[in-house]
Amino acid sequence: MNAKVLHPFSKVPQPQKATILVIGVEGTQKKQFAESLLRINVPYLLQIRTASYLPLPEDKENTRPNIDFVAFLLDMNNSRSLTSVHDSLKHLDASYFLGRVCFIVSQANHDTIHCTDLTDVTRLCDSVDSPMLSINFEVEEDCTIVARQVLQMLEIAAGMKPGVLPLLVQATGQSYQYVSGEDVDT
Amino acid sequence: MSQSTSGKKKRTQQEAESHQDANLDEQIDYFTSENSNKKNRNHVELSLALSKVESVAKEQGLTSEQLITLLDVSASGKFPVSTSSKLIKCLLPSRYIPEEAAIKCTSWICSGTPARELQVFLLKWMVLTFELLGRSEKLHALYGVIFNFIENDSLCPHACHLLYKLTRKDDVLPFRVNRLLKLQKKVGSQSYIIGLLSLYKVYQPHLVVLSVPASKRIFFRVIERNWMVEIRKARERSLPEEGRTGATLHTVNQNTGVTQISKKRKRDVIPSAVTAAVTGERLTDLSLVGSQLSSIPSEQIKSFEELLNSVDRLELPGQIASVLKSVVLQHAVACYQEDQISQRLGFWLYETLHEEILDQPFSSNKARGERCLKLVINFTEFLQEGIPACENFLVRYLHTWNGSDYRPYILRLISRFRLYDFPKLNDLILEPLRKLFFCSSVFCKCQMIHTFTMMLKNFVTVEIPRYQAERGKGEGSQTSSEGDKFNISMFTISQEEFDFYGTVEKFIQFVDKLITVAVMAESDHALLFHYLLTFYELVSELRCKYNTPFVCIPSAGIVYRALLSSNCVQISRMCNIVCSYRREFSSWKEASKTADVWQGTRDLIAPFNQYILDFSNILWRNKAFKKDQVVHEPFLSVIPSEVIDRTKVDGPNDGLSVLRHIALVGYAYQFLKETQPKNKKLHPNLIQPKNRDLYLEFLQRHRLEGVLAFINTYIKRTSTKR
Repeated sequence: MNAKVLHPFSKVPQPQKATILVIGVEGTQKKQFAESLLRINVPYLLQIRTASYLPLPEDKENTRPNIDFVAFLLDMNNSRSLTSVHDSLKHLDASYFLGRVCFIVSQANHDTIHCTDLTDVTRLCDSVDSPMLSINFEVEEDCTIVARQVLQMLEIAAGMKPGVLPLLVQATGQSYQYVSGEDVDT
Repeated sequence: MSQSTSGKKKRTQQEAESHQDANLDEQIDYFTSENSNKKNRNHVELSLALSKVESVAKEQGLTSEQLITLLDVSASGKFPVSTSSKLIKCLLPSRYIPEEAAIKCTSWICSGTPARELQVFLLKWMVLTFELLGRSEKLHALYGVIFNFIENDSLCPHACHLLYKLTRKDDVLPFRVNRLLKLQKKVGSQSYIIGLLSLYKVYQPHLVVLSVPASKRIFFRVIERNWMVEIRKARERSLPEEGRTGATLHTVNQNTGVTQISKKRKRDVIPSAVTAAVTGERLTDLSLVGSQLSSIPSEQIKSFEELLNSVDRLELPGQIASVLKSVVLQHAVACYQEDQISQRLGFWLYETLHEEILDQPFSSNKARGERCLKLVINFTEFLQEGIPACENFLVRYLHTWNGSDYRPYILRLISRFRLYDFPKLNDLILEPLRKLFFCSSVFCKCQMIHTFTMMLKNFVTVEIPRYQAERGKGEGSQTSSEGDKFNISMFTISQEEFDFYGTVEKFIQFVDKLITVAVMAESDHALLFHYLLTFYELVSELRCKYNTPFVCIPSAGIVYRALLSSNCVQISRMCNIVCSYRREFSSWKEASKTADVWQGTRDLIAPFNQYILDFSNILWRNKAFKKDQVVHEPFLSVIPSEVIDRTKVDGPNDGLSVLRHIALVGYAYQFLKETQPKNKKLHPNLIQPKNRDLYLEFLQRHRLEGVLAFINTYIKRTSTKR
């Protein structure tokens, strides 16, 4: 097993414990997002790890718990955040992309100040077949909503919903690549 | 006594009036007669006649004939300018000014007979009394003539003002714009030219490029204050008489002038309905002007009857979005079927929704967006079809929607989404919704399933008939005439051919998958079950009610979860659903002989029979875990018998019967309590086979009719006592 690649089952999962890894370059407000995750009451032990990029340092391999879910934070204002996520994805085992990854994009609605195109992000999400969520860090309510959504996915990934696997959820979707006429023109 | 005095008073008043009239006519005769003194200003007779005419005109106004006579006198240049101008100021009507007078006035100005000063006076008179004109059609025909007055420096301001009041959309032509621009170059940017140009811009934005500074919003100045006051009095005189026909209603509206509207717009998302024909100035007296116009401004339409009477002559408001506020105008817009209107509306809707909802980063003030969405929903529901611009917005919005903002409204709009080919529908709407579905709370999931139900309903009741009608029209078959009542799409959308029933079938399968997983993830939440059963209650009627060529059955995950659930309502409703499938399949079989239905449905019969067998074995025949069955693998037989033995349950096969099912055992207890003597130890087995019918009726009384319906439909009870 390549140590540089993160596997969802490299370690034994612990009962009543869910671990999420939040990845994003500096300035993507990882801490704020983690805090809004912690503010939500959950009936299990929630562990949050943050990192700027993958691969994770090898020397801390022993103390690191099994990672159930990976959330990538992207900032539409920061073109580096997209390229960094792009590079990090290589160090993630393919089985993560069966419902154990999500992308959280901030400032998605402010078209005018984008320095990367939203379609690039969408293409990235589609290429790994993982959901994209939009967050607005300036509104606390919005952070809570997104945090709840991420926790829902995390609970499924950590096996807390009996009978439901991330793969099952993934299987409900059909990935058609519909290309509308306008897209072809541009 | 009092009557006679009042009668007398009246008589004297009338006498006085007739006397005055005679007197006035004499004075007018003086003006018209050839031999009166024309030169001397201080002539006694002249000044007497003038003062008489003045006083009568100001108090009562002049009749149409008198008005025209005096107009001719003053314009002919018979008297000195000062006298003529005084006369012009006296041209106040008793009720309204005949159009002829305005035309004469124009022709006098054209003739050049009156002095320059008088021409200005005449034109001013026309501007000021424009509201008192009985009708303005013929005058409008002279639009080009009046337009030529702008070349004259002294006439120009007033000509512009008059044109401003006269202009309709057809009048705005490129050469006129050019001439105005040239003139502006010559004389500098005068407020009156800007005023006229800005009106042109309202009508034909593509012809005029102009920005009006806020400081120059007052285009036309009123200089003749006193004269204005007299004219206003004359208007008030004519109004009460017209009031009966509803003019007062409009004057109330007019008092809220243009300035207030623009302020209001800042607060209000949807502009108020103002027809361009009467924008610009303070709104003219519509009842006088509009009633005879060829097109009727939409403000005058207050009821549906009025709309019906004038639907062919209606002029829509300048800002099309204001129709969203008015139910009556929505009818008008929907029946016009003009591309131009729907495009105007669509453009506005997309921009406004984008601005109000997408571009609001700090969603602190949602009231505006909600108001806006509510109106759009109203309009969508009224049209019974999705507005394409709204759908474009929805697709964009769903992409980054957090699943919470404006949720009820967004879902309502989605439920009216058009039917597209399934891959397209999936990418535009279903995939973003699916993504949110699995990361939202159970209540949100319920709302989404409800939305899917509404979508399906919309597809089968509105969208498919519409597509069929369209297709029928294309083929020129006879179905088109019958289907025309559905083919009332306001929007022309070019759609490539696709299999719409195929889309519906795939859509049902998509929802089926979603709810199967959701029910597991939410561990049989009762509310969630309610919504998914509602969905299937609709699906189980598609063939019979909406004539679909296929039948869709729920997947086993849902059917058996309902059967084994601890909620009696779920069992009963699922039984009902299974019952209605009997009608579905027999209807399909009937139709399959004539072969216009899908043969794929035949493959569903076997698994569905399996459902029925399992239901009857478990609920009625006490054979839940037995393996001696006819069709395929019975559902519960997968559980090895050793496992069942190890549970040490007394009579495992009875354990899920109607009597002992965990969801129904409470009812059995209740039933026994009512039927058995007191102090007797109760057990469900006390219900004898012969009493089972009573028990089922008892269940029906408790609104669990599904169980009885199922047994009556599917189980042949030869042995029983009927």
